[in-house]
Amino acid sequence: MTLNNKTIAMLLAAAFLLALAAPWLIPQYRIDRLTLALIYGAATIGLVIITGRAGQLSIGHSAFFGLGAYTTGILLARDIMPLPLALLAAALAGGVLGLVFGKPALKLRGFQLAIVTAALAIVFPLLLPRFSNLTGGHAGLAIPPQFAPESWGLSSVSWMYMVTVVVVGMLVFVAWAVTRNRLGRALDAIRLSELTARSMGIDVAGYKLAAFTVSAICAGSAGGLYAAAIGFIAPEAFGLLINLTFLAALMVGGSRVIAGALIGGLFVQLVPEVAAGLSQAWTQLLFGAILIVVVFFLPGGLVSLISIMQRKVSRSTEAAAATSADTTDSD
Amino acid sequence: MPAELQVFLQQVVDGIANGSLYAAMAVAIVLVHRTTGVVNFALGEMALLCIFLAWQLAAWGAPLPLAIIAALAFAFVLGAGIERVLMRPLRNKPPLASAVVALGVFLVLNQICALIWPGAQREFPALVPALNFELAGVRVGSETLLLIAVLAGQAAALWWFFRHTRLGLRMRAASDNPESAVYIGIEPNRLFTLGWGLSAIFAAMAGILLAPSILLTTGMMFPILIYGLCAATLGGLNNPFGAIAGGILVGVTENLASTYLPFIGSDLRIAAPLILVFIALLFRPHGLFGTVQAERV
Amino acid sequence: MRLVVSDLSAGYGNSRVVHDIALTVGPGEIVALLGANGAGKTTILRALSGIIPRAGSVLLDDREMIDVSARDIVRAGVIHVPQGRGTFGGLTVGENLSATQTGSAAREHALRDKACRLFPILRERWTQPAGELSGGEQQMLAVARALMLEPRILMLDEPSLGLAPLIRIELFETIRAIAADGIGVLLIEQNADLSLKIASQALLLSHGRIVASGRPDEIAGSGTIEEAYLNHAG
Repeated sequence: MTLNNKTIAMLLAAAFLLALAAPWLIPQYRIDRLTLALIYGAATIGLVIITGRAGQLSIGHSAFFGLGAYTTGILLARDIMPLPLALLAAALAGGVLGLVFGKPALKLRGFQLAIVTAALAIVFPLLLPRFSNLTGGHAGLAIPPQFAPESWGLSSVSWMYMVTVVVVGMLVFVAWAVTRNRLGRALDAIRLSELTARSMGIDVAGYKLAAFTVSAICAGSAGGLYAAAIGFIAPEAFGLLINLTFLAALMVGGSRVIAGALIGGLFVQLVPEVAAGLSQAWTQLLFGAILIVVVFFLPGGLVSLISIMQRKVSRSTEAAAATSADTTDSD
Repeated sequence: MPAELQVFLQQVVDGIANGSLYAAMAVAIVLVHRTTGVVNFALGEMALLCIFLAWQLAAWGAPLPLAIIAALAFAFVLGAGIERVLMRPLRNKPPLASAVVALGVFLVLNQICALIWPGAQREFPALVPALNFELAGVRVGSETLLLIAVLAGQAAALWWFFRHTRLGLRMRAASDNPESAVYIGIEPNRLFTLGWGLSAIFAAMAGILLAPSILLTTGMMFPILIYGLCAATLGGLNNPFGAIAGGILVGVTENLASTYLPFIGSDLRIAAPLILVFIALLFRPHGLFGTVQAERV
Repeated sequence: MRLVVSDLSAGYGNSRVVHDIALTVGPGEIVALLGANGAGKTTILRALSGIIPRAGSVLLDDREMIDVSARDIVRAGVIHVPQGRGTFGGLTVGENLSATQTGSAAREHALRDKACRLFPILRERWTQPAGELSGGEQQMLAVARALMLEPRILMLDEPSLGLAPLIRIELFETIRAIAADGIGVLLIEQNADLSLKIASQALLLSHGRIVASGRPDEIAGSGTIEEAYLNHAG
């Protein structure tokens, strides 16, 4: 079965509608988990663009995620804006910080870039308690649950879920738009060799910054959704370590494919579920082991399983065709 | 001496004391990077495991020096083993792969310590009798002097090793051009494994020097790793002396900023060296003392 | 020392690049290996120095070397100077030469003196990083470095590449002198003229196989060289 663009579009539309219908198909507590999975997936979509495609390792996206969370959180807690605008503000905040930080930071490469992004990730949560009248400091910030219009008759969990699906859908579209055709190939070229890309006439600095900013927008939006969905945020949730969760989602799902980000998000939500009986230590150990195992055995992530299976299927159909040709070719 | 100057000097000396610790970690980071081109994010946790091991051996009754030597030997095996099994196969893969695996090892080692030695509040025995020396009103502890002495010894040993021994020269050759090293009979693989083993020993030494002054927890090496990475980056990643200078700079900056800049205070003290590194890298992307390495196309 | 190669095949990954290679290099002989780009000349050298998978027979004075490790091949005295020289750019000239040594300091001194006599320019550049040397100087350093390993068979891959004509001639004279010392030389050269002048034997490689072999004047006259180079464009 070959997948042409029209088929893919139809499949995606079907998936989208199915996803929206979930609150009527799945119990509420699972909806909650699904929302979180999508949120992590959304943040990881950004990493697909900047790390998976453009090859720039950033362990600082927790800062954009946290900034988005606190932006939406504060706006909702103080009833300044309705949810959609508060989420937009989160996306913008992420984007602005991404742009401002990225412009100088992306002059650096490889390890140097990783360490300055790590610096951002470390400093961000330390700054939050400094503005405790806004952020609630160490005690955290409570955000009232969000509801759909009365007449729709949806629980707040279902409503947040549907909002998340819509926002993630938009982010998927944006990510697809910036990584297709020439744009995507430019990013790939940059990943493989910046020097060669530059000599091919690609504006490496410009593309890197654009990719970084878009990825920050994704992380910021995800953070905004997180605040609205969880209802309570505190600085500890946005430290350096959640970057490892994002990285795990990226590598497990498939670092170069947008769908991989969503699969990865599902995966990182599943692991704590499965490990619910185990202590926190085992969960973290599992995460670390998964990172190592994925790099060695499935570097393309879970999405690469599809192409691996496709290859196996086509090889066996070839073999079957060959043997049938042998039997017909008997004279 | 006026009181303000004394306070200032004390802060500087304390900063140098902390900085020596970061420098020791930075030297380990530089050693790994110089020989294999990889930044080993897991160095802190490798050291952590060795520290706990030393503590455990001492708690079981072994004399402290023996426990430490055993832990350092284990460090070598751990470092060399991880390189051989996990990092060597990744040498021709994109750098993201090694970085992710190193982070994975970070998590795994950290949690192994949490599982084997759960709970908190373990105290590492003192390495030297606690004495305080005072010079012109500035206090220095005996542990600090030990630290500085060990650091100086490490730096000197590394310098001598790379400059004046056959093995050190061959290691430099192997990291300069691993493909060509084969043509003169060098086996880069073995040397890289050796480099990881040695750097693990250096990192473990840094951790053991730190251990007596704080409680043993699974998080204890993380700030040291971060500061060590800052110091190594500042110093230029390939230069052990740069790493030491970087370490001292980081320690002093952290202390002075936390004392004299009210916005930083003590909770944001880690921000000061991080911001310093960021700014420094903007002007000198290869570190203050680093050399530009030509990119092979 | 005599190098006798027969039935050699070698390649990268799953493909074989060269097939049925047979050649002999005796002490003091210079054997020129000619052929267009991509014919497989470098592959043969890489197979002989043990850094790529290979099959067949490589006899060094009756010792079978086909399964020997690269390091032990170097120890046995088969030294390969790769294309592009392969010097250690970050190390000084002196360090480049010393990096080869695992034995006594006295021996190192003796070898160094000998190498510097052949290439006096190296003494002048002794403390400079090798990366700062000119192309010709780097080539001399590469050959000097090979000599530090006391080769019995010296294999040179395109030593004259990128060098000025005068330097080339000097270099080839030096190669002749090295062979005169009893070292067998296997020489890859795009520049057929120069190598044929000093070689006692020439082999022509095309598409991974030897298509002609014999004395230089035989090969040069027969027109097979042009054929081989031209055919390869296809």
